[in-house]
Amino acid sequence: MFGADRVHAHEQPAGLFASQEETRYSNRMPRVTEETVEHVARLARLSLSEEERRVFTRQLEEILDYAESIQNLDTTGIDPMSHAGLPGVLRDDTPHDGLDQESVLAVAPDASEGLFRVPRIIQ
Amino acid sequence: MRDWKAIRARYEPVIGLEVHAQLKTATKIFCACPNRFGDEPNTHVCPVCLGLPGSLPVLSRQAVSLAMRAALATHCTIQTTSIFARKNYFYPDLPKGYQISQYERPLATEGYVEIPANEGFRRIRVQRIHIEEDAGKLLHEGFAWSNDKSGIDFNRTGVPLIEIVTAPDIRTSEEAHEYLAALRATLVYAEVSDGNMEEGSLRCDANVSVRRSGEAALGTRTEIKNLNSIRNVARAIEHEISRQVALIESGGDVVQETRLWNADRGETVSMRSKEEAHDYRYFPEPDLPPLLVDPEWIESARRSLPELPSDRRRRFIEHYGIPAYDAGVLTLSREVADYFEEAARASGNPKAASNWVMTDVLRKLKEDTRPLSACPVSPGRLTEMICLIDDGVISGKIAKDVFEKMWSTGAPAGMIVECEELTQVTDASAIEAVIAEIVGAHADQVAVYRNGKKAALGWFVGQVMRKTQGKANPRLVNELLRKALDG
Repeated sequence: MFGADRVHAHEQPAGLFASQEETRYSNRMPRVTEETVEHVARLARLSLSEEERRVFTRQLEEILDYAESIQNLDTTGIDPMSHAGLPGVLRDDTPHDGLDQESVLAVAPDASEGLFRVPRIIQ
Repeated sequence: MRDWKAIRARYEPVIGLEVHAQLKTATKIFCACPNRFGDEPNTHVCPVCLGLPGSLPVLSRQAVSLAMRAALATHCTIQTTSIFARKNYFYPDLPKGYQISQYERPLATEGYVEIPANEGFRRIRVQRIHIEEDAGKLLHEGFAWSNDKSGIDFNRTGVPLIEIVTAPDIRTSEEAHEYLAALRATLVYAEVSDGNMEEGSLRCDANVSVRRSGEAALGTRTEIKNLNSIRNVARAIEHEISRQVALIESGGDVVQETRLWNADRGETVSMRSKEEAHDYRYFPEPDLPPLLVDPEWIESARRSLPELPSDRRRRFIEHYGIPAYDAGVLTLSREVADYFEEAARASGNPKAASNWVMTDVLRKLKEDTRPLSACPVSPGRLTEMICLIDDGVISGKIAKDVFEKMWSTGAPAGMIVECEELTQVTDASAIEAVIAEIVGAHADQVAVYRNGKKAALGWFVGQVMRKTQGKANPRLVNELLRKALDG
């Protein structure tokens, strides 16, 4: 996993999780606040009711508590693992035709002149 | 305003560049769709690059090989394990809602690119090179519906990219220009990328801040985007430095933000985006296992590298004895370097070859907006001409005319010299006859010369050259004139 202590400075993801430092010294402070949930919901383009926000805040906190039990394991000398399974299969650089334009655009909510169309996104 | 130059000189700009280069693979990075530019929109797409549910990415071996070549060519250390990560954001050119990139563990770290600096070279450090996928292309103009809709072409989605990030080592817009020229030459030599900024196969973002000279802490930086030529990168940086200095001088603060370069207006403008746009919530890409490269693969990538521009430049300086500046210009493009080297070797006169390529061949190509591949004068033809000069058959002055004729007709130098009777006059008696005639007709000038104004010799040389249509051998003319005048 990407341990919080290993995230580089320049695009540090703003905190769904409290840093290790905080976890260590203020165990009883809630790590997920309603503001955190609101922030994450906005990034995911979700609009939550007040009730939903309260429920998710509590649930996310519980998930972190549950995960916390794993933190107590002694992992000295064990390499961090981000993926299960074997190293990947790589693909040869041989092109194949994909889908035809007509069937691709058939799944678009809006299309014209071979292009997908969306509401204008710059002024 | 007070003396702007003096004010500006009190600040030190700190610049870092992020360059995205499209890799020259036949297929996209995670699917077998063709990686091709300029075709009908949405004709090179499939469930993977469209991000349709249930599809899974499979990494292209060739994309990794090319990325490793770029890393080795910039003296980076290749990490035997690197990890793909999801960069999450919503934008219509990104069908999955995330870009597959690398974050904490990029493919390569800690290299450098050499740029010319007074007398020698200076290293601009490369912090990291990582692999990622390109996004689709948005079209905002040119359609009847463009005032309220944007079009999307997903042919570019999933084209393999590398991002090359420098340390904040660059101090002037000229250095930024040099770095980009050197990096582009390196990527093109190594056949990693086309390096075409206008077509977008090479793209650059610039991070710019200023601080008072002598201060250690960095100022607040801005990121400039939309830089589509090396020249515009330099112009945009120059403008942004001035903007930041003026802002600080007037008591303001630089705000950390993304700014867009407007080439028509010659200025950067704030891109008022949502404050949270940079919260990408990176996490490891669960659909792709770690990328492992073994030492043999790295070695074979290293062996596949040709001689790189910086090495070639050094060799040109040492082996051919040409100036560092000339060697730099000649090695910016592999084709130009090959052209020069062929003429230098065949003629045995590298300095002449360098001069002719630098001042005549490159100038004519620029005038005609032709690529070197369509050059009417081959290195062999140029060699013939240089040999005619070196053998004393034609003068350097006549050679300029011969070169023009070679360019327009494609004929060899020897044939032009013969047909136009341009052969240099090296027959002493013929030149003496002309001299006698001129000396006889200009007793006044002869008197000037004999009264000690030795500079008048030049006037006589000019007369003789005019009389012989420039064909007289200048060395011989000087010698014989002195003899005639000094008596």
